[in-house]
Amino acid sequence: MKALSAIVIAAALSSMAGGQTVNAITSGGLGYAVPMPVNSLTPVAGFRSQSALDSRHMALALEKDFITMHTVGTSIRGTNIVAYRFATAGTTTPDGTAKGAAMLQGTIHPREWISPEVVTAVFERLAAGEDATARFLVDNLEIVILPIANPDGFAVTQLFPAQTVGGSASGGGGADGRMRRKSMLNADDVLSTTGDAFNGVDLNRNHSFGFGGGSGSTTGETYRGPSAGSEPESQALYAAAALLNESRLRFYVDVHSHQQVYYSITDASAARSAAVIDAYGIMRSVTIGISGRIYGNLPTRVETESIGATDEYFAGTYRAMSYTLEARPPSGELFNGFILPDSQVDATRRELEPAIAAGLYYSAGPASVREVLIYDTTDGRSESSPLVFRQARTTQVGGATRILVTIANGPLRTTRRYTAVIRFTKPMRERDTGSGILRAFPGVSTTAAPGLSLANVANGAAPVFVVDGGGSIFGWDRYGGDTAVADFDLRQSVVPNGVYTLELSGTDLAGTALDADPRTVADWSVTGWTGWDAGGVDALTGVPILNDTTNVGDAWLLLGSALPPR
Amino acid sequence: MARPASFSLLAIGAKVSHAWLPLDCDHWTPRRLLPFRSLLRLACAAALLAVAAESRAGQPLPDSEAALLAMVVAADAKSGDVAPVEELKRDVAAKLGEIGTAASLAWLDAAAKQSPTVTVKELGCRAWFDRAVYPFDQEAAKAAWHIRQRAALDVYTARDDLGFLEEVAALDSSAPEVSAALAAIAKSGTGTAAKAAGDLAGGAPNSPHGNTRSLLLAEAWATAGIAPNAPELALLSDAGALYLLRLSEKFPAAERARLLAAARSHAGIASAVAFAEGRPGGLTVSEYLARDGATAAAVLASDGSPAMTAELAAALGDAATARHAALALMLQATAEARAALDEAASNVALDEALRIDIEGWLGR
Repeated sequence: MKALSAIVIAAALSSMAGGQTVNAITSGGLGYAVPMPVNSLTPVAGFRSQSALDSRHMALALEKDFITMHTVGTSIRGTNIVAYRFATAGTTTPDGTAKGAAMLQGTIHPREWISPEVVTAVFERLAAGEDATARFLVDNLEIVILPIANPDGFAVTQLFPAQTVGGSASGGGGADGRMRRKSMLNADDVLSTTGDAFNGVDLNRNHSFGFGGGSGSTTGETYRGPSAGSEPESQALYAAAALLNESRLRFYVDVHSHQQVYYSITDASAARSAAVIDAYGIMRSVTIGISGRIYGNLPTRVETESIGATDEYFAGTYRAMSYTLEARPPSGELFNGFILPDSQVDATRRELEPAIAAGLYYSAGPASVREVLIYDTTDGRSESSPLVFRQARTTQVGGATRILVTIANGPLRTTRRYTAVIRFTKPMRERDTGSGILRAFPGVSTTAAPGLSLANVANGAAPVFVVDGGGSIFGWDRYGGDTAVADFDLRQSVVPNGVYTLELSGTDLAGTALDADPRTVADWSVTGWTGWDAGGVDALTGVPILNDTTNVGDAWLLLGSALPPR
Repeated sequence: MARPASFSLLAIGAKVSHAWLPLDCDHWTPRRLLPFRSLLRLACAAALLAVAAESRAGQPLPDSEAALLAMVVAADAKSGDVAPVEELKRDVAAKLGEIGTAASLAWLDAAAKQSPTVTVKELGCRAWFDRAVYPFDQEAAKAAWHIRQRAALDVYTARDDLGFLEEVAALDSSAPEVSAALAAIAKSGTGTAAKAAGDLAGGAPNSPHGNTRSLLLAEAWATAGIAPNAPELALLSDAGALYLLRLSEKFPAAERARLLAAARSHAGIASAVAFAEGRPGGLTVSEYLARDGATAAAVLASDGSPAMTAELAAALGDAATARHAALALMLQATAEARAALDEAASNVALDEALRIDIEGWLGR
């Protein structure tokens, strides 16, 4: 027993002193086949190789004019660190408001191979632009994606997909090789080199706001580095953020594995913190709607609980809604979360990419009604149906306020039938590819149709969102689902020459209510949302009253667009 | 077996101090305790030594399955220190995974559903979480899987046909019977495997196959050495198609070529197939770039020679290949490639959007 103990102690001390034992990670140890990187530009039922991911990102950037690539720095070993900026031309949205900015980051911890897969899934969706939400996001936000923040470390994990220094056959407790977490500072990519397996900087402890967390030992698994931002990879991260309009940076996600949880960075601002939690709730709901998996929330106060991680840096520096997203599994499942089996990869991509997209969508601000058109469709809907009434909101110079412009103001008559076309600033519904029904994001609970009320003088069915058939006057406008259509007529009991208010309510794809007063443009600030009116009555009810005495007997409509609370 | 005093030390270390087992105690040190870091390191080292001294690692276990089961049943029945019991259960489970039979399954299945209570704080990306020191539940699950796999393989290989595959095809792909069936197929003859492939494909004609049927089909085709045609291959799941691609080396050369040609039409592996095929003989760099685009660029970039760089630089001059030639040069990232891209960035004859991207990649 004593001899055995001596051996164990010697082994432990040897390990502490930097002696390096290269161990195999085996399928027997893992309980499933050891994942091997696959050279494929497109997603496969497993992990793609680093070179394939690099190729994929660059190829998409070269194909799409709205993606630009930027070498934002070089790693400790001189490898290019490349960030990608997604944005259509100009600094304003199609509505004339200033674009918000958002950033996603992956692979800061190299052994977490699911991270670049998830980030790349978002990349691919935005690049494809095949769905309304993706097109909306690149039109309305500037987005920077830094898919591989620690390319040197990632390269080592890929070079040794089934080897680690120390640790068990399941990889547990190992360092370097497949289990490398840190940068390659003072480390090489030869596993047998004595003394360097534990070297490197934990790039998720190297930032201001909490610098001093993690380890002060150069061989510590969370070695923070000599000073905040000391590492070239950290500088590259900051340079990536600088590709954006930094004053408008409002959303940041750093994807990791594993624990199946979000770390949501809160601060002293209750309103900002509430928005942080709101966005988390949306992302959580979307994943539940897709896979049923519940991603927990671990709020972290930036002022008091920071440890020098990137999420704190973005929360503290930019006051962005900032998260560390830890992919599946939670503790306790029977596979190694750092070495997910191939069979988990696609499912993880599918449950997290839409969640992140939903978070981005929320960060673009609330939806509002931007235009209402009423056509006379007594003779049926056609492209030549007469336009009777039209009001639109236009953004004023500077983008902070909107005014309502009346473009057509004809009377509505009790003898006619009409179709109201309501256009929103965001896509509001999408079609479920499985069931075919219209819905909000998966897992988001919301009413199927917006509310439309014409002061109890109109008969008609609830508006229906249009997700197909763009290009028609009754179709969607900029994005599928950004338009709702309702047929109605006026009750015979309506008081002639009256003035009425059209009231609209509803929720968007993320389940959030319309901005009740779009005159003040909702925007993100250091203390959270501003100008997002959730309970007021739209002051636009004061538009001039029509009084066309030549149409005695008809009911007159005043469209005030009062948007009630959620 | 009794090691109560020594394991009490571990239990204290584990439960009271959250088991300071990690070699680097600095990770978790709260800032207010930093001045006492040396003391904490000593405490960590002491805990480590205690664990090492008390570990039962390496102690021989009986070779008899019955004796092993009796040991853990007796240990479970005792009250007292939990740690040695959990360690024993882990080690017994691991050994049963090697030698156990169906007689062990009841205990293993029950153990797999239990939660270890002796935990260590393991580092996540931002915080610590609890990891079992003696994950006997995982070992038990693995052992039960292996026993079932062996038992199934014994049954399958005792038969002289593969008539059981249709039944297996209905199971989850992670089931031990599926692993056994794959092994049984691999051990069968080419004729048997060919018949099995036909039966499996016929079992669900013209509809996309599930993962398990796809895996079985891939194994059967590979064992038979007969490549499926494109419509047959298109019915495979993504996981099955990737498995088939990984087995492609087993096919005779001509069949492998047929297989890869057919596999190009499967969206789940088309790109991987293009990588696997590499640059076809007879195609110039430009022709290859024109045909396979980004995949060709990635394949060509793996040749970082100056000669390849020169060919890629030349391909920059052709609008049809310029974009992918630039991609290949970026992926090469050699000094020569950078120089070629640098020159291209100032070439006004080049598409402006491409020049902007090149400038961006060059960090300007």
